[in-house]
Amino acid sequence: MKPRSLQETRGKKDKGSRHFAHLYLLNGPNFGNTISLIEGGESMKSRKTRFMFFLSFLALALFILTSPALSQEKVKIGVISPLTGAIAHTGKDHVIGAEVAAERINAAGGIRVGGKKYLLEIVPLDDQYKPDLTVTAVRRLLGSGVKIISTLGTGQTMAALELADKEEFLLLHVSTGPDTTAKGVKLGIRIPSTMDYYASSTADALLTLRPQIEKVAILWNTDPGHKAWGEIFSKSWTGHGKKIVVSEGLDFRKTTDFYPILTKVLPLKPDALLVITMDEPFSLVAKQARELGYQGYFLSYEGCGDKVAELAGKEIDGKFLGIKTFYVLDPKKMNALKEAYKKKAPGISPGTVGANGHEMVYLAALAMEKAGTVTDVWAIRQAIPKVVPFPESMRGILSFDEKGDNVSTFVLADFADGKWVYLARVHKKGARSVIDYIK
Amino acid sequence: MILFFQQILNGIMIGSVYSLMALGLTLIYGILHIPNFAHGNKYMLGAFISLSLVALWQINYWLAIVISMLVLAGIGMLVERLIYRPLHDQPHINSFIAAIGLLLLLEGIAFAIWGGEWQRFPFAYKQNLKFFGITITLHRLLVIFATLALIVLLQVFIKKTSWGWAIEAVAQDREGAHLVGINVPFVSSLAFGIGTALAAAASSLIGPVYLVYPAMGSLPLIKAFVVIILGGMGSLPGAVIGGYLLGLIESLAGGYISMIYADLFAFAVLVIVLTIKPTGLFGKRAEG
Repeated sequence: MKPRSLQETRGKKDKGSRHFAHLYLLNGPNFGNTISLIEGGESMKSRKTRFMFFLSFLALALFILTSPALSQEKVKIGVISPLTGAIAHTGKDHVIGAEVAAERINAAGGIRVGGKKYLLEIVPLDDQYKPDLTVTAVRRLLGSGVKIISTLGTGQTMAALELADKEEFLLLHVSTGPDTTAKGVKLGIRIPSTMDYYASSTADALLTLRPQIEKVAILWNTDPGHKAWGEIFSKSWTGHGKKIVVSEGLDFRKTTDFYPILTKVLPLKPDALLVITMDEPFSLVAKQARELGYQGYFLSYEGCGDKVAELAGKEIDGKFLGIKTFYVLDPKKMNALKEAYKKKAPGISPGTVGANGHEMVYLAALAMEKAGTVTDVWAIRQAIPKVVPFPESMRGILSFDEKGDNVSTFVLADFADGKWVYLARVHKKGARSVIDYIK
Repeated sequence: MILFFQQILNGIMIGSVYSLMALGLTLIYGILHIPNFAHGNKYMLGAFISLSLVALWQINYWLAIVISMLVLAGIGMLVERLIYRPLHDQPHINSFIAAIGLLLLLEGIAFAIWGGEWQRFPFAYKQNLKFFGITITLHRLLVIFATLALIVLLQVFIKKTSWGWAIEAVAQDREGAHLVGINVPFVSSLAFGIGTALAAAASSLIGPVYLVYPAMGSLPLIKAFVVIILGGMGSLPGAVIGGYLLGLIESLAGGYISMIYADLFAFAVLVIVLTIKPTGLFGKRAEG
C-alpha cells in the first residue's frame, strides 16, 4: 500500500506545478504578483532567478561574440551515413574522412569566397543504411539551410537524387552503382569510380598478376550493386577465355555460417574465390574456406578494406587481391591520414569510404572558391570539374565528365607476410584501363 | 552423398545454436508469457563477456563460458525482478515496450564498453577432422556435443529436481502453483535466469566460429522466434526439435538449391506446419 500512497502525493504535486505553468503562460514574464497569490515569499526569489538568468544570458552572448571560431561564418556540409547498426564503422569512416578534411582546410584559414573567409562544418546524420531514412535526413539538412550533402550507398543515393535538382542541393555521393549517374540528375556527382571500371580492371590485371588462375567462383551479396559487380567481372573474365565455375548470391548480412555454401562451391575446384562483400563477412568466408581445406586465392572488391587483414590476415596471406585507394602509394599522405584518424576516432582506420569523404570535402571547398559563391549550388557544380586534380587528393581523381562520373587512379594489392603489398596502379585512357605494374 | 552428409552436419551445428536460443526463449515464455525481444542482446552480452575473459585475463575457455553463463543468469534474474515483475499485472503491451527498451539499452551498453567493431574470438579449437570425406573443425563438433550436454542437463533439472518441478508447475498453472506453496516470484526469476544463461552458452560456444559484435544477436533471435512458433510456444522438446529442424532445412536448401532461398524454405515449412497444426509441432491447445 505504501508506494501507492506515495505516488498519489507525487501526483498532487505534479498538478500543482502544472497549475503554476498555466499561470505563467497566462501572465507572461510579469509573474511576480501572480506567484505571490499562491505562495508568499516567492516573488523575491523569482526576481533573483530572473536576474541570474539575465546575467547568464549576457555571459553566453559575450562568449559567442568573442569566440574566434564562431565569429567567422560557416559553410555546412551534411554527411548522411549509417552511424548505427552492423556497418556503422563504414559510415563513421565516411564522416571522419570528411571531418579530417574540414579540419585541415579550417586550420589553413578556411576558404576565401568573394574576399570573405568561411570555415567548414561537417553535420553528420544517421540513416542506418536505409533509403527512407536517407530522405528524412536530407529533409532535415535542407531545413537547417545545408546546401551540400554527401550520401553513402547506391540505394540511399538513388533516393536522395530524387530531391537534388528539385530542392537545389549539391549531392556528392559515395556510390558505385552505375544507375546513380545514369539518372541524369545535374546536381549529383559521384566521388568513387564506377564499379564497371573497378571490376573489369581487376579482371584485366589478374591475367598478368596471377596467371595461374583459371577458374573463379563468385559469391555476391544479394544487393543489386554487388550482383552487378559480379556480372561485370564475369563478362571480362570469360572474355579473356577464362572460366567462372559458379556464381552464387547470398545475404551476407544474414548469414554467419558459410559451410553450406562453401561445401557446395569448393568441390568445383576454383583457383580463386571472388567474394563481393565487406570486410567482416569476407573474413568469415576466408576463415571457413580454409577450414574446409581450400588453398586458392581470394579476390575482393572496392568495398572491402584493411579490416580484412586484421580479422583474417593469416587466411589470406599471400593469396589475396584487393582494391586500394590511390593514397596508399604516398606514404607521407597515408601516415598523416592515419594519425589524424587515431586522434579523432581510435579504433577506426581510414578506408576507401573515408578517402571518398575526404575527397568530397576538398572538392566542395575548392569548387566554392573557384565559383566565388557558397550558396549558388549550380555554379559550384559547374566549378567541380575545373578543380581536379588537386595536391591534397586521396582518391587521385583526374577528371569529371558531364554525367558526374570521374576517372581516377586506384591500386591493386596483396596482403603478404603481415603487410600490404601494392602490385599495380590502374587508371584510364579513353575507354581503356591502363595498368602499370609495380615491381 | 558426401555433400548430403556434410550439409546434414552443417545443419546440426547451426541448429544447435537455434535450439539453445529457442530453449531459453520458450522457458521464459512458458513462465512469464512475454516475448523476450531482448534475448538476442543477452546472447550478444554472453559472447562479449566470455571473449573478454579469454582475451584479457587468459581464463580457460570452458571456465569462461561457465562464468559468462552465471553472470548472464544474474543479469537475467535482475531484469526479471526490476523490469518484468512490476509489469506482470499490467497490459501486455507494457512488457512488449519494456523488452524493446531493454534491447536498445543493452545494445547501447555493449557499444559503449566494447565498441562497434567486429571482433575475432582469440581462441578456438582449430584442428580439422576428416572422416568419410566430410570435413569439420573440432570446435564445431564441440559446439554440437556441448549443446547436447546442456539440453540433457536442462531436461534432468526440469524432470528430476524440485526446482524443476516448480518451474513446470508454474508454467502449467500459475495460481495453482501459488496455492500449493510454490514461491512463484522466485521460480519466475529462476526460469528467466536459466533462459538467459542458455543464450550466453549459445553465443560463447559459437563465438569462436563466427565473429563477435553488438548486433550479432538479432539474427539468432529472429530464428529462435521462428523455432518456438514452429515447435509450439512454451514447449521444451518443441524448441529443441524445431531448432535442429530449422538448421537442417536452411543448410540443405542452401546447399542444394540456393542460399538466397534458404530462409524462404524455412518459412515455407513454418507456414505448412502452422496450417496443419496451428499450435506448432508440440504446442498445447490454447486455453479458452
